[in-house]
Amino acid sequence: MKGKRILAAICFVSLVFSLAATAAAQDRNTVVNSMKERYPALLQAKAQGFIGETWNGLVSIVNPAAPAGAKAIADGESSDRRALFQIIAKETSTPVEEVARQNRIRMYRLAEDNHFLQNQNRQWVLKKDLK
Amino acid sequence: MKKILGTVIVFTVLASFACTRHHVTADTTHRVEIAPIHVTVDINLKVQRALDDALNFQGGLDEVFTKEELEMLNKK
Repeated sequence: MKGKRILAAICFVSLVFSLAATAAAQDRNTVVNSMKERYPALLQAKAQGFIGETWNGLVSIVNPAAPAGAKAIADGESSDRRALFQIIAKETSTPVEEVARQNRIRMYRLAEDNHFLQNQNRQWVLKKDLK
Repeated sequence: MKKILGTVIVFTVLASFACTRHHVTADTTHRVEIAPIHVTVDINLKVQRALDDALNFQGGLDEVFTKEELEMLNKK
């Protein structure tokens, strides 16, 4: 009788852990798919000079006069990035700020010369002018 | 005694005329070789791999880092 209870408890704990892992994977896939779908529009907005990469690993509007569509893209992208940073921070046991910093390095390096990036003083500069 | 003293004085006077002053100038300029400036950035490979795993549609690690950088990071 006691053995059955222990077995049932083990099964229950395993089920909870597997459900949690599945939920985390789904969250990750949801976020990544959302970013993947947005990516062409994000690249276009960057090429048009509406959106740039910020110093904290997110994106933002470069010019306040940018169209509303560009602002929606920037907001959606930053929101997804924040969620992804949390997931990766948990997976790698790294502070979220460090994940964001690593993403900044990644995105600055992947940026085209005509894309806007924030310098250390949080001023917008084209990548080709970034010292 | 007087002869000896006179000889010593004469030698001393001659020896003083023989002395010359030498100015030795030491070159204190250090030649410093200016090496190319390497900007050191703290790369967390574990996090970069996790980001690459999730966001490889943006570009792979080989597009983010040079071949030399990747070799260096993988050695760590």
